[in-house]
Order: sequence, then C-alpha cells, then structure tokens
Amino acid sequence: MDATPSNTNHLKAGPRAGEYLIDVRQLVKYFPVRGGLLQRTQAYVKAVDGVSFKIKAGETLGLVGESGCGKTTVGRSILRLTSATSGQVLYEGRDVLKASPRELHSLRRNMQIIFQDPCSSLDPRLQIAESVGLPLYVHGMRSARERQEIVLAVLKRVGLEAYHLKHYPHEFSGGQLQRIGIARALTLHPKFIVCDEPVSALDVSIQAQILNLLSDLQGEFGLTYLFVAHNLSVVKHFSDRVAVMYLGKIVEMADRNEIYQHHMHPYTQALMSAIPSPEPGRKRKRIILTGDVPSPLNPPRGCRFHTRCPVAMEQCKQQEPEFREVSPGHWAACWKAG
Amino acid sequence: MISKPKSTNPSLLEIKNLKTYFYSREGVVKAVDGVDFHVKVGEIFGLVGESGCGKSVTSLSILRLVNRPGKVVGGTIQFQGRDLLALSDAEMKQVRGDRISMIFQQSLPSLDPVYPVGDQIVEALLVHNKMNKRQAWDRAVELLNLVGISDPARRARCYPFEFSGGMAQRVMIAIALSCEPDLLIADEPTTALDVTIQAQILELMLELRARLGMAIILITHDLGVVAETADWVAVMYAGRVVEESSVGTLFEEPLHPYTRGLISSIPVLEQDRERLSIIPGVVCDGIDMPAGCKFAPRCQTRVEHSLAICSRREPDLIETSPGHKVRCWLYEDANQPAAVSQTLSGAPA
Repeated sequence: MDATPSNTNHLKAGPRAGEYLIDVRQLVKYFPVRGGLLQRTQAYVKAVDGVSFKIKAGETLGLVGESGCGKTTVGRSILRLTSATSGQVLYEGRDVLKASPRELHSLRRNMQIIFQDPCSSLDPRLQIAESVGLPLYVHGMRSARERQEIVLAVLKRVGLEAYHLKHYPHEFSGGQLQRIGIARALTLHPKFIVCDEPVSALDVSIQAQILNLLSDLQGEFGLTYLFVAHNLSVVKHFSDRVAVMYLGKIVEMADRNEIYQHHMHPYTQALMSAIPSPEPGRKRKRIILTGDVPSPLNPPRGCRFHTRCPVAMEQCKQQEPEFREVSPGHWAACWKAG
Repeated sequence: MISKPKSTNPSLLEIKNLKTYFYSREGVVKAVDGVDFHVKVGEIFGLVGESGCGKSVTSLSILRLVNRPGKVVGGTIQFQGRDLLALSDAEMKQVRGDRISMIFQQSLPSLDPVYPVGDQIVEALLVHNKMNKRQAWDRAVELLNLVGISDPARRARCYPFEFSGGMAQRVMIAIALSCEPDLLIADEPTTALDVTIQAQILELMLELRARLGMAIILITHDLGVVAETADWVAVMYAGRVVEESSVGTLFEEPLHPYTRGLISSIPVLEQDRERLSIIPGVVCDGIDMPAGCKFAPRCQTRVEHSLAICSRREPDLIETSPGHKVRCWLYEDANQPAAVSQTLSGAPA
C-alpha cells in the first residue's frame, strides 16, 4: 500500500524494533474540582498519579484496570489530548509534553488514537471519505486525488469497499465504524497508536474480527500499541506486556505470561479471578473484593488498595509501597511482593 | 458426553412459538420469531446472544412490556399454569412485580432520582402486600441488608445519586425481590459494572437463589457469566433459539456452528491463542432476513459441508440427545448424529 508520506524524511529515523519508542516518566494528571460562588478550585481528582512505563518499538503494552482508574487519561495525556499536570512523555527521546505547537503537529503525525465509541468519534455530517482523509488534509499532504487514493487503499485494507466512501456514519454497524476509526488512524502511517477500549462496545463475534485486524496491521506496518482496556482476558490475549492500574497508579507490570502465572499484587489476582471463565467445570477460586473503588478525590493513605485488600497488613495502611522491579522485568507495588 | 436430563423440578414458565414483531416504517422487524423454551422452578436459565438477537424483547414480552410499534403477535407464555398473554391488564399488573420481577442493565436510570431508595422499595411492597408504611419500611431495610448493603437503615434514606453503580444494582435487586417473586428476569445485570463488582453481584444472585428458591432468567452476551452462573442455557440468533442444553453440555459439546464460533472467538485467560477464530460478516438485518437458516450467510460449516438446503429452507429446533436441542441442517438426520458430530470436531475449535 502506498500510504507512506513522502515528506517525512526530515523526521529522525525511528528506533528499530527492541528500542524504546515511548518512555513515560512520572506522569501526573490532576483534574481540578471547582465549586462555590467563585468557582474556586476546591480539590483535585487524582486521575493519574505518577505513572511510568516504556514501550519498545513494535511492542504492545496492555493497560488494564477498572473504570475510573485513570487508564484512558494516561492514553490521552501521551498524545496531549489532555494536558498532563507534570511528568515527561518521551517519543523517540523528544518530550511530547514540552513540544511547541509546531513540533507537536509533526509529532502527532506519528501518534494516533482509536477511540472506544466509533460512533461518537466520527462526524455524523461527513462522508467516510472525508473523515478518513481529514488527517492527510490537516497535515497538508498530497493532492485531493492522491488523498482519495490513500483513503481508498486504507479502507480496503481494513475490510471496507469503494462504495462505502460516500456513505455517512449512521449507515454503518458498530464493527464497521470501528474499522473506519482504525482506517482514519492509519492514513498518516503512524508508528504509535493508542487503542482506547477499541472493542469493548462491540459484540463478541465482531470483537474477534477487530482484534485480529489490529494484530495483522501491527505486523504489516510495524505499529507500536498502547492497548487500553478493562477486559483482562482481551488484554492478555493482545498484549506483549501488561500493566495493571488501580486508582491512578500502576500496581503491577510484567510480560503477559509472567503476570498471568506469577502475579504478585493482590489486586491483579482479584481481577483475574473475577473474570467469568467460559469453561463451566473449571471454576477459578474466586477472590471477591469487598466494597467499591475509593474515590480518586481522596485516595486512601498508605497503599491505595489496602481498603479492599484481602491480605492487607498494618504497614499497608501507613506507608505506600514503592513500585519496584521485584524480578527481572516484573514490577509490582506491594509490601508482600517478592 | 451424554447431556444431563433437565432437573425434575416442575415447570414454571413455558414459552411456545412466541412471536414479537415491530411494525416500523421501513417494514416489519421480526425481533422474536418463534421462540420456545421452558424454565423450571428454582433454575437459572441463561439466554445468550449478541445485540439485536431478540433476547431482551423476549423478556419484555414475558412481562408484556412491549410497546408500540412492537406487538406480541403469536404464541403462548404459560406461567404457573396461566397464559400471561390472555390475562387482562389488571391481572397482569398483579403478576408483574409480584410473581415476576425484572432488573435492568442500567440500574441508576431505573431508579427515581428524587426519592430515597427506601421509599422506592416501600412503594413496591405497598402495591402488592397488605402492610402499613412502618412495616414496609422495616422490610425495606431488611431487604437492603439481604442484598449486602452495609448500614441499611441509614442507606435507605439516601438518594440514588449517592450510590455507585454496583450499589445501585443491589438496590434494584432489593426492589425486585421485595415481593419474593417466583421468577426474576435479569437483563444484562452486570454488563455496566466492573469485573470485581460483577463478581459480587453474580455471587449475590446465586446466594439469593439458594436462599429464596426463585428461578432466574439471566440475559447476557457474556458466555463467561453464563458458564459460571446458569444451569440451563439457550443461545439466540436473529430472533430464534438456535441451541439449547445444560450449561456443561453447551460448552463441552456445542453443536450449532454459531455457538461454536462464539465460544472460540472469545479470548480465554487460561489459553494462549495465536489468533482468534472469527465469525465472518455481521448479523442479518431484522427486516430483510435471509430465506433459509438465518445464520447461513455467515456459516463456514455450511460451506465446508457444501449444504445447499441452508439458504433455501429453515431448519427446525430438533433434539439430538436428551435435553440438547439444535436448529441446524447438519443434525437433521437424527439417525446419525454421531457421524456429523465427528466431521464437525475436525473444524477449528
């Protein structure tokens, strides 16, 4: 497919597979809560509170957690769709968070996002050809005719046909819309894509189609993914490494098989045991957590998980455990780990 | 494996040839078109399928909550020996909420935001029971306790917005249980919840079933939820039941190509699958249904076996072994089900 932009030569040659493409350091995002007569800031929702990870070129990092844990905010902050409070996001060594508007514009050519709800992320009044071609237009690439060709090539690659070009979003099913969302992310031939819950709005039979498509595209174009989702079995299937988030922090991170076989954090364990298994005879030993996730407005002192943790000790209530490398490549934030 | 015969409990609900159509401007949508199944006393009956397969419309038809342009146009729904479709509106009101109650996917919008949750439980109690307000309030607090809400006396005075999604779903269950129904219809009760909260709610439902002995129709798209919770299961596709059996049999020995496709297309934590097997295409349009088997346009097995009949005539729901029913031409020759089963097991699972 000839969708490689010709005028990207001025960009630094990307890292080869195995080198780090994305390096997130101590990312923090607080959302102010305003109130009162003067709309003063009264408190902060600590959506992301010191998150660090690296993603190698060609790798998929899965980011999993329950609603409100901050996983989506991490994805959006990396692309600067929400401005982070502090921290660093290095893309090929350049800090995205400090980039000037011009730099950001060129950086974003390499970084795209696929949203959870394909329906609301496409303009209902634009034909598919326009929506998918818009990134090319914004980045001032090619003539109208060439843009059209690229759009058609990309749409065909994700499994749509030429006659779909003139259709509007409401004429498509959810699965098809998600294919369009993927096509739009691909037109600029990015290196890095944030997939924000790309399959959670889809039916199971369609979900498998989209997951396979994403993994084919990764092989074909050498894409690097940050795969954000709440479904641990989907994340484990799709990712090379998995990071588990709880209340704005990563509590455990390791290779997919390592985290599945030797998880160290009690939250990871509970999350895994809570997934209903589609094999009736083989029920897992369920660990049912009590209570709800505490509010990120006022996270608990000490370890954030201690209020729901089945094995919490006195120390957990006082001191917050450090996120440390317990064994090579396996990180966890728990006093009992290791 | 020989499928287990259904429990010997008496039948509670029997649905025969139920048809619910929606008369839209574009044409008639046959949302439910000839659904048969029965639910026994104290059983958890899973109704599985993807969006648009008619599982929710089936449950709304049972409660006669289908509104225009929808209409139940055929079939019978026998509940405790009475045909619900033949009851007068007043009689139906007596059944609804009292003998059969329902919980919905979205619990917060189902609660009235301007009344404390305790009052909403009291309301349900007073409609169907002879008791005064004081007694009803005490009972409401008791119910909140039953569904695992701590400090129920205080929480009963709280408004819905003060509850999280999981807590609100517990309140909904408390309302649904207020009259100790014989049948609880749970329409995707945990879909909007996080997995750890889902586990709590499913556990609660199992516990309440054991304690109160009611039957539950569990409607879900999540095969994992069915596998862990239900006793008996029916898989729906395009307004029809395509397969029905005990839960163990369905997952060990799925017969219908759609069921097989569904089971093998979900990622499982315990397994490493290089690629997920997929069901190609999309669910057929409700108005413009294919002539024969509704699954035929997406069916790989049909192509492998080069069956021509699938796109011409619709198969019946037949019993291949005791308690295991399937709607597929592959099994129509009931004399040789084993042979077909063998050829099928070669298909990717």
